[in-house]
Amino acid sequence: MNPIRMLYGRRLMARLAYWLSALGLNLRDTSTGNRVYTVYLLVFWLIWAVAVFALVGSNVATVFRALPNFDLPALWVTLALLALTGWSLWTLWQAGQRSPFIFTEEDAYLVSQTPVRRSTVALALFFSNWAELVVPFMLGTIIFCFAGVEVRLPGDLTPEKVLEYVRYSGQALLVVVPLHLALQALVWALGATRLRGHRDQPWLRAAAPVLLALIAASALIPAGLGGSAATPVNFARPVLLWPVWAALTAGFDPAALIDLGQASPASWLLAVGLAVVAAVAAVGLLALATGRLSLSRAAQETASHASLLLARSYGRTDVVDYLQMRARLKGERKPSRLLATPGHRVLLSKDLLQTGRTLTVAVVLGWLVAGGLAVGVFISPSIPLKLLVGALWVLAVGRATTLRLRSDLAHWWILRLLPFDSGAVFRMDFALPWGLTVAFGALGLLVVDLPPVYRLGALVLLPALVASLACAAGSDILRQAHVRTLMVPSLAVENVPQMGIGGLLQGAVSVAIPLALLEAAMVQPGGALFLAGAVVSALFIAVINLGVMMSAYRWMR
Amino acid sequence: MENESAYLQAVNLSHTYGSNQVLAPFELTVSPGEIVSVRGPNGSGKSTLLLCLAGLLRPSTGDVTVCGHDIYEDEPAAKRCLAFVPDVPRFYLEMTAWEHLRFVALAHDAEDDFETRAEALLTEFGLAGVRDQFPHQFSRGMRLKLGLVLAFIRPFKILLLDEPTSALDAAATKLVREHLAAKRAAGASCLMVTHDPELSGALADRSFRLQDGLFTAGPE
Repeated sequence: MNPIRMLYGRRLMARLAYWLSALGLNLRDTSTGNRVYTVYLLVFWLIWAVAVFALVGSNVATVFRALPNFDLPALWVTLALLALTGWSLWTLWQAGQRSPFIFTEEDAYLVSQTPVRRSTVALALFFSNWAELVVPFMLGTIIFCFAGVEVRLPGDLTPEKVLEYVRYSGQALLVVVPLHLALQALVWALGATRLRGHRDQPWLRAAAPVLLALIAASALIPAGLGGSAATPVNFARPVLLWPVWAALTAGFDPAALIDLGQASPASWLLAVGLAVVAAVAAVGLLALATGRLSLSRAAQETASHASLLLARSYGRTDVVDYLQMRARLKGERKPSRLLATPGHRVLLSKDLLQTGRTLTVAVVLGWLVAGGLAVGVFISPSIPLKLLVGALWVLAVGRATTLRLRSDLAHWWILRLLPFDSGAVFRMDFALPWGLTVAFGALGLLVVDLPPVYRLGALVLLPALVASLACAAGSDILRQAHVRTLMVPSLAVENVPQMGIGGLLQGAVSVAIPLALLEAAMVQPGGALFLAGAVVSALFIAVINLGVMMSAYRWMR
Repeated sequence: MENESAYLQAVNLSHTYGSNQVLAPFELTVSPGEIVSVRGPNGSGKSTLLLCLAGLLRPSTGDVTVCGHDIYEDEPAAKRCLAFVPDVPRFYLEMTAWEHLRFVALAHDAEDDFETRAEALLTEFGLAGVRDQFPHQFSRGMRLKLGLVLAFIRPFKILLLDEPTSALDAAATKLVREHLAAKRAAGASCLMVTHDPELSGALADRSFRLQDGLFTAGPE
């Protein structure tokens, strides 16, 4: 067996096993018990899938019926055409900028350096990627088919209706899947052409915009308006989109859709034939185009993107953010004027510089959410709602205020060698996120409608509560962190722990007491005493949490 | 017994990971102007030794004093005297090479003549042309050079180096040797972990060997 096919085949199977494990299926277990269990699970998920698709399909059908001049076959053809063409143009644009053949670091070292046939590697990569890319299109097709049947056969779910669901979905998939394969193979073939040999083909980067312009023009300008039929604009529509359009039109034959049970097999067979021929031709073209594919150039273009995809697949958003930021921070920058303060205050200057250079909508949103949830805690009318919003607030503040601390922990050899005591390090690391989180929360408290005394109490408490939460999150991170792990060369902050359940509980307990006293101040006699107690307890707990964090830092192993 | 004149002193220092004793208890003193080298096979605990001596990793037993200051009890004073360069230095994503130098110099109140010193060091190590670039764009050798420049931009009494020439070319290795010799002449000390017998042979006043957690005197 070809080693490349074996390698990528195994990877594909590993991905399949990953997704099937989410459904409770274990491909590796070949015992009789597991086989019986697999059959049971397959039947269960099949019934579940039909039920869910029927439910979604009926909702889509309701939307369809509400459309003016509703014409189901025309709508399907238009939507499928738009989805396939739009997706292909988008992937074509990407293929013009970066190799569609994405190599991991291991690939770069092993596969691209071995004397294997380029087209074998390329086709193995293409099919393993395409198998994942086609899934959303299959799901979309099934949903539209279920909706179509629902339009024609409204009412309860009967065995006959289920058969119709399956038949129409199957018919449509047999058209859409090869068409998708054909379009993607063409896109990858163009990407491969750009990567032939050692010379770049910059003109290929313009392929997507040019095609988009031609298609848009052909769709927008009526046939008679552009002059004679031989103009490029009038030529574009039939030549560029005809194969896709023709296959879809034949596949979604109005007669077959409208008169259930009266499907025209000839029309559908023509569609399938067209789509399959297009797919075979496109894959053949891809095989030809990849004969001289430069694997090393492809690897150079995609090594970091492969890391990004891997981090995304494991849900490591912090690593994804880091990699995206690394791609953004390239080239040269003039020295920042922020770095001017000597002593421990330079840490704050550094944090300002780092925050300024990495400011994204997501970061600002994090502070806004933390501020907004603070308001939510104070205005929630019931205790259960207060608890729920409070838990979310603890998490949001913990995440927003420890961004810089986690970044510094990732650079342990720099941080711990600074001639500052831990108190100074934490004051500087938390100053900016604490200030912003408090400011957003205070602004919110000033805007919402609250009794004046309660508002005043909340405004006084907020800084201490946020400090308490920040220290609780920080101490939880430090408790989980290990120096040996922090010193291991890493890509981003993946070696630095995130706030866990310990931080959530510590934070929740820390804010619960002052908040309870504030509530009591509003309803109990002697309110001023309760208010004072809330403020004192908030400050006291914040100081305790700071002490716990400093101790965790000091005794980190 | 504390040696008040020593720049670095470890007393009964040991480190254990779980049930694995990486460093058996040992004593070590590095005097002013002395260069000490430590050699040993991979995985013998050399990097752990440096982490413990630099105050980056808490030892299981024992104390470390730097210029008479306990590295945990009087941390800021001890860290003013100590510099450390790991074998694979990692830098902040958001700061350029020049900004890293500025940050470290400001943190150590070493602003006097900063621009001239920084320019000179970067030029010597061949990093002047990339001073305004981000270190994540650098090769491993360039990062190690920047780590060394970060150490040399600030004053120190004792320098701890982990494989200082492992990723460097011949010219940079010679430069490191010259800088260490100059620092020694100025009275500073150095403890380096190295597999480079030439570097060790040319500079080290004393050599130690670390194997299976045991710290012994002698070159091999």
